Amino acid sequence: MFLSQQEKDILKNKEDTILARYMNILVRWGEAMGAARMVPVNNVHAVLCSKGNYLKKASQTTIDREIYHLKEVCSRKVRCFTTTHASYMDLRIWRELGINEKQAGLQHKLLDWGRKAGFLMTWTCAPYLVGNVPTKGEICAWTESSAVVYANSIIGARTTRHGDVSALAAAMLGIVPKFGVLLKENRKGDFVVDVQVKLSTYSDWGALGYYIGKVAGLRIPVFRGVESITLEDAKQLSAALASSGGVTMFHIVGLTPEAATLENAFQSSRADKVIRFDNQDLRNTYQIFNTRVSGYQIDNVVLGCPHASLKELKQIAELLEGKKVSRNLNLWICTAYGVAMDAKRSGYLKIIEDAGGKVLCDTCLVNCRPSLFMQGKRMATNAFKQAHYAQNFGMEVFMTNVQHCIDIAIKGAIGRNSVFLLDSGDKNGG
Amino acid sequence: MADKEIVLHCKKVVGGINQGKALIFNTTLSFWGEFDPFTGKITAVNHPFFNQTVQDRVIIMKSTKGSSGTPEAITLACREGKGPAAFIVEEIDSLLVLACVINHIPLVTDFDVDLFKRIKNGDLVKVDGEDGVIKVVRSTELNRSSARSDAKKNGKFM
Repeated sequence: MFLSQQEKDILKNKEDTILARYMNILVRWGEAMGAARMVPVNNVHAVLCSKGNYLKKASQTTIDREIYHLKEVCSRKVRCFTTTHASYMDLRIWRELGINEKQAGLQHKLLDWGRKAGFLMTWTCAPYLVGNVPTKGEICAWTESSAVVYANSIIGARTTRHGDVSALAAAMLGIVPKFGVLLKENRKGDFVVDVQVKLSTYSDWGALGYYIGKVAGLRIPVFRGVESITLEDAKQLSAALASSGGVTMFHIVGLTPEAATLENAFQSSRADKVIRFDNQDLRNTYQIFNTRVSGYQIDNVVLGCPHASLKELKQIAELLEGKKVSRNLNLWICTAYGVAMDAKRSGYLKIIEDAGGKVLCDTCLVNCRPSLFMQGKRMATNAFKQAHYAQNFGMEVFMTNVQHCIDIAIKGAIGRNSVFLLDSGDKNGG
Repeated sequence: MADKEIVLHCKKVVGGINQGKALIFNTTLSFWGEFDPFTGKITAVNHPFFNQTVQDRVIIMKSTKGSSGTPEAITLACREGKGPAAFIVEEIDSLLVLACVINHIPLVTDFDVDLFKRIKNGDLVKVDGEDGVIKVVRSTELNRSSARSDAKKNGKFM
């Protein structure tokens, strides 16, 4: 891999060993990935938070090392515009979430350290909702698998799938190794997906992503047969593609920036196969989760994965206005702090909270794992990503759209005539 | 018991030499959300090796997928002494490569044979990430029984 004199100097710098270490990781990562050289970057989405409940079972040495690492990173200035990924707590209501004082204290300190180091303390999985919206072709270094797919596919920005260390290294050094989708030739589609069913809700887009992600693995799907897509649709599609699969980007013919035509999407090479997604596939994808739900009673309703947009908060507020969330369950809506503040000013936050909904900022339930949530056996959500990871906590997940989720939140249970439920297991409310 | 050694040539992605018993699955895994770094166990309920540890195993799989938390989780597992010995994959996810770079775990790919037919779970696999060679010592006795006993211990993630 070619390195400039300046890059070589950083690699050998004995005074600043942190930068040397980060450079070393970027160089070895680049070499392993076949990068020819580094490329400048000025847009990073990085992890910078105290990991609370996630580190609960870690040894003291590991925890100390984490804290030392965060301190070390914040002891210098970032070189790039850098937003921060979702954290593991909501600093407004951490007590309610069962976070201990030590963890909350560390998070408060991080807020201070991070500001000084020049991080934008967004703490969100959807940076494009709070002002980190790159331009077409802009080189980025983003963590968060769903945001990577969104940035590459919907915006046409260029970022490989970054981990915590590589994104921080990019933020500190202002460079990334040039490989993968940073190169135009690696952005061409691998196979066609003929969408032969009308996608009516955000969660329908999630179902499409969940079904195709498994088929795609690390490859690039090219969707054909859809006429429009909203930010919220794209959010669900991106998140699901990177949950059942490891997709970095997709194209939609006629809609996304690099796919004006099918030929554009494939850069004139030939598609090796065509996969269909029809009404039966759509239904079956919901049923992957819904047939495992053993009763009608629901303990948690979860919206905002990835973080809810203003439009979603408005929609949820309108559905909840003048109603009350059932005492038998928790309604959680996860979002970015910035989005929540706009919703507050617009009056939506008050409506949701008056109805008994819990708005979580900065984090999500899979990250934060509050006991109030974890004690539950059954949940309902509109997000396939949330369903995918929550099932590994031993939860039964009912997948449906936002309207139905709110209906469940008010009634405390899934309607008994719900078309989604199959006749397996005990349906006596359990 | 151990009989013969199979030698297979491959491509180095991340160098290093290590060995361990094979944990082989012709599918994918996200190391965040489908794996617990503090126990070293796979937590994905639908995974063929649900509740089985990756500790000191040579993981042979299609590829990683899913969360960008994969490097972070593998690093935590390594710090806690629960990390895998090496990775052999069909397809390269930049996130697994990053994890291997950070933690000095050998990672190889690109075989001209079907690994999932040649290697059995529990076989001893020696990975030479420097020269791009793996050696497989088939041991028919130990594999199945150890997989079964691991699956019985029915722990929970949290």
